[in-house]
Amino acid sequence: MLRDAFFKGVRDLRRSFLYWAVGIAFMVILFCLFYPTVRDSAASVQKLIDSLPAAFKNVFIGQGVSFTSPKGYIDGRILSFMSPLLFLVFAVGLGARQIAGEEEAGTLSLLLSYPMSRRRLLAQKAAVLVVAIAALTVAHFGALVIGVTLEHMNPGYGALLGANVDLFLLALSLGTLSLTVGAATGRHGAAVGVSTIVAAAAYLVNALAPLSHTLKPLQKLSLFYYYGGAQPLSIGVRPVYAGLLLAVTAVLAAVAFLAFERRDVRV
Amino acid sequence: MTAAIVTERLTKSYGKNRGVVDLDLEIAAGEVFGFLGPNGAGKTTTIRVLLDLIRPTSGRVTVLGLDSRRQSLAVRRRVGFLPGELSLYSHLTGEETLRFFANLRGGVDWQYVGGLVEQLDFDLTKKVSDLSTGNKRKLGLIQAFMHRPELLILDEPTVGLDPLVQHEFHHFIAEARDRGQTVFLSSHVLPEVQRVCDRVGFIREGEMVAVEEVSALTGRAVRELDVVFAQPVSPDVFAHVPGVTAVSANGGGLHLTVAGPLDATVKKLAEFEVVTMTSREPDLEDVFFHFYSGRDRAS
Ligand SMILES: Nc1ncnc2c1ncn2[C@@H]1O[C@H](COP(=O)(O)OP(=O)(O)O)[C@@H](O)[C@H]1O
Ligand SMILES: [Mg+2]
Repeated sequence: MLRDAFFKGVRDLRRSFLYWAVGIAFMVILFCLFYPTVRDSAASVQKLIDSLPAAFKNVFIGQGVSFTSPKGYIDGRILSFMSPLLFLVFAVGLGARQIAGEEEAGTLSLLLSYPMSRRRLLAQKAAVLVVAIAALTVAHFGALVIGVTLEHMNPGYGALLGANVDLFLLALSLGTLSLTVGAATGRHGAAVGVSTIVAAAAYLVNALAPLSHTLKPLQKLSLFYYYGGAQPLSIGVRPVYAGLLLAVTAVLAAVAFLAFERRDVRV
Repeated sequence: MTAAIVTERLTKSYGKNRGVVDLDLEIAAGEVFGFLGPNGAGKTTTIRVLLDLIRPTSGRVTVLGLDSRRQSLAVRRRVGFLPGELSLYSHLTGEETLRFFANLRGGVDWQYVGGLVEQLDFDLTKKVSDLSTGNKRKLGLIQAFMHRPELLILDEPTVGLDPLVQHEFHHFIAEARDRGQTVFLSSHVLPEVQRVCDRVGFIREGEMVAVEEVSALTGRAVRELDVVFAQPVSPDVFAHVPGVTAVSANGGGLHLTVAGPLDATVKKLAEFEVVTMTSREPDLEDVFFHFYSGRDRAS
């Protein structure tokens, strides 16, 4: 388990990953179990939602969907806000820890005094990030499948899988941003800060764009736009958009390699 | 035989801050070299350049005949490093730490490592977070020695350790020399360097001031003596004793600075009734001052 920096990274994650996976699965299933209540009082729930200010509704529930249909409910309760939020906290924290965290803890100098190129170390650290987010996505997807099956919500398993793949790619892109800022600066705080600001801005721009002429043209710059506009089941995911998220990740990773290769390692 | 370390006009600036300036250094294979300088002199900066952790602003550096930048991987394969501010993975045990680092080297001779562990009386089963400073440093020392590197780079290996452990470390380093390993060791205390090194290089404010054989140095060691007498003694009595470079009244006694052998001073002291006497090594700046002002006068 301590074969190299990748295996050590996975090993270091064991316990905290378990908490994350169980917590997210628990949340997802709980929301699903609540669906019948919402469905059975559909009229009054929908009236309540329609009475909310549009901006509030867009940010916290989703844009103009039927909240009481299975797809609308899963988007509104789970996929548009809660899951991305939790995934981003997980991915950004993990991304920042990979290089910057190790550097601030003081162990990076010793690690790089071993015969391992910076490129190789970064590749192994990035692999930890990919594997961890993928595993969390599997837990998330599994819980969704269980939840919708229990409540006969039937949103279509293909659509559900597509939404999860997109969620994975979204989290990976922002996790990679965090890794990259950390690899370029060696500062954990900067990595978390920059990524959090980018994620929050991207989310808000996407959610509020339909309500604002000023924001409208910016929507396509938001990563969330490519995550089914934060309503992956209602709007649907598109392979081109998934590819775009992947391309953003690849560019960020390339920047990480270039920057990390060139700079001084801090004590 | 290729030199173990060569730096030619090595300069490293941190923005406007000086790191090291035009540093020339040549360390022969098989020697124990003490890199001596006060805090902030540039010792750690130099060491980090050798390992390609930081990149020089200008100058050329070769380690074991290899270019420190282009051939860094080959260099690091053959070097063992103990960082000055040692941080290890606190959640791993000593054994796990060594396994991880050994794996990064593609395996080591565990029998040999076992010997090192035994010699330092180190407990492998404890978590790093439960280790004392001295034991953490022992673990750091073991990982540096574990693959029998040709060159050991130790950045202030004994600072902050209690004298007993310091002594153990010095012994450990002396054995490395006997095995034919080259040791490059930084320190800010002269006695340590005198005890374990063959040669010493003085670095101050980023510049190499001098390189000396330790044997040439010991004869000129400088000590501060505080002596309390039963009756008052005039400082003038000691002013012309060979070796005494300064003397002043100090409370009820005298404060003497003595360079080189103490013999003449001790014999002079014996003429009076001495109540207490304490001796201490002066700080490095004083040594510089005495050593080099003395030599300037001589030349
Ligand atoms: N990362 C850095 N940024 C700015 N200045 C630095 C940095 N590292 C070292 N220095 C400066 O370079 C000089 C040499 O430091 P260092 O090599 O750590 O000295 P030593 O190890 O001899 O105590 C000091 O003046 C220090 O302030
Ligand atoms: Mg230092």
